[in-house]
Amino acid sequence: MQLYLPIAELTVNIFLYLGMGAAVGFISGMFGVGGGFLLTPLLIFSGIAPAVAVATVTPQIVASSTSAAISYWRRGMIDPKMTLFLLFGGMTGSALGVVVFRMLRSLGQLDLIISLSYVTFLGLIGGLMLREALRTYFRAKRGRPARSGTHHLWISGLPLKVRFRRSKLYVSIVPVIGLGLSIGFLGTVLGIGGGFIMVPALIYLLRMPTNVVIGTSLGYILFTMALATVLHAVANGSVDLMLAFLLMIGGVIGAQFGAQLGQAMKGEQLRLFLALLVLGVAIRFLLNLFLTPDDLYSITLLRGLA
Amino acid sequence: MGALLALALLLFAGPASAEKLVSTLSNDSVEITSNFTGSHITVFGAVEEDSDRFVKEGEYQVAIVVAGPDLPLTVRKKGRVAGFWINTGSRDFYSVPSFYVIHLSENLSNSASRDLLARYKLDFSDLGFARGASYKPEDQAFAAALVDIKEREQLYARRENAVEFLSPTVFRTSFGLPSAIPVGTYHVSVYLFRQEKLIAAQVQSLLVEKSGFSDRIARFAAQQPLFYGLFAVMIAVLTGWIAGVVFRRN
Repeated sequence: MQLYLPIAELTVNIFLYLGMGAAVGFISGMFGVGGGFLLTPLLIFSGIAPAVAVATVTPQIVASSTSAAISYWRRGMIDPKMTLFLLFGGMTGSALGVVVFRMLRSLGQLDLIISLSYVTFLGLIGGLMLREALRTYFRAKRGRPARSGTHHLWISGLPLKVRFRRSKLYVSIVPVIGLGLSIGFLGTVLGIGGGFIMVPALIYLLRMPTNVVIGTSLGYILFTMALATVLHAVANGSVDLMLAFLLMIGGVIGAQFGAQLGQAMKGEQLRLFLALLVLGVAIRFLLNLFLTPDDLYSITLLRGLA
Repeated sequence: MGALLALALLLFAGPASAEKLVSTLSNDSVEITSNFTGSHITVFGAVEEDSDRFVKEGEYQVAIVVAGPDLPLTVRKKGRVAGFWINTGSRDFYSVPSFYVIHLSENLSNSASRDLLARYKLDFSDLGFARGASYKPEDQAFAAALVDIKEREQLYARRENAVEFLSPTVFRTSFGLPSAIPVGTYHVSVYLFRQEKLIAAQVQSLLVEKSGFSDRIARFAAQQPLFYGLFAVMIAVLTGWIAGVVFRRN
């Protein structure tokens, strides 16, 4: 069945994008990640313009994090104060991201920056995740308990400390806001929620207890991505509601099945697979940058004159 | 616009000939609805003679051009920098037809002179966007690449032997419009030649527009971007919430 996408301005097969949403939803349900880092590249590789892909994934992330965030909220697994401070940085980062996004687009280097950032961040995070996963995997094999990390001293030395009741933390808000800002910025430019960066950062950097980490990260992602959707719509006019809706429907259904499989799998196995998946996407982008393109030329509408 | 004006002048100033050209389109507008997968437009034409003079087969030559609205475009070229392929050069072209399909009758395809093709823009190299005073020879490569990309997207095409004569004075041709067709006002120009001399021409407009649901969404996004964004968030939250409710029961 064919559907004309009014903003992307092309006719696509409904089932391709429902399936794409479902596949990514399945993975996100299984690993407990948003899946934006997979969905945006998939859309780009399928022929959707990068600008439209990035902007359209943002409402899809809102949809997929809403249902999860609600259930975490009910169980008291979100630290509202921490979320607010993260959001404070996140909103600024998001706004900055949209401005930079627009600038890069007019310079003609948006695709390059998106590719480079994907390679850098996914490569870095994927590499770290893989190292961590392999370590715990082999340690579990040898029967030794996982080593608990040391406290980051430089963070406890920072000023403007605030008490976070639910997280049982007394930390400076400087790294909290900084974290929110950088992930909000990255998420808006790259079309990712950033959960796979936020979760480890909250655990390893702020030493947040793991039971509130995922909920807090979800709450943060929900609001920054909602803001990013509105900002992309206003500044770039590139949110395709039809495409977003297809992805959402596929996504929420796929997520349910993914979550069931995820519960049946071992934690370290899951982390290993996720690490390989993240690295795989990074390598795909890297190849794209290195391999000779099919066509050296590309055309875009001259903005501001049309 | 300039081309149209020139054509209009040409029509009024042209030599008074005995023939009259009558042509019509199968539809005046193309509506891009949610299930649009491309369309066809057929152009019919007939030459009306004053007298009952006998018309030889192949006496008339016909060229029909469907041109979409002009748009300013940037063509970018990738180059290798430190192993990476990145955009290194670009050229701006200020008025590029978004759609340009040329159909020629068989006798015109075989015999048309360079001069004739250039005068009536019956070849892509004659479109003019690459020939501004400030363009250098290397800009031709960018212009050629542009035409290449447009041809692959089926937005540009030049088909010889594509106008079919049903009788020596009645002809017909059919244009395919791909699903990714740009919206706007198109112009369908019909040129009638005899021995490479223009004897009549006619221009008709064809409206390509989004329609129905897809039109409403596109207009909402363009006219009320803030509310469109908020609406998108609302839909997303609602979808996520409903999914949460539905699947929790199972």
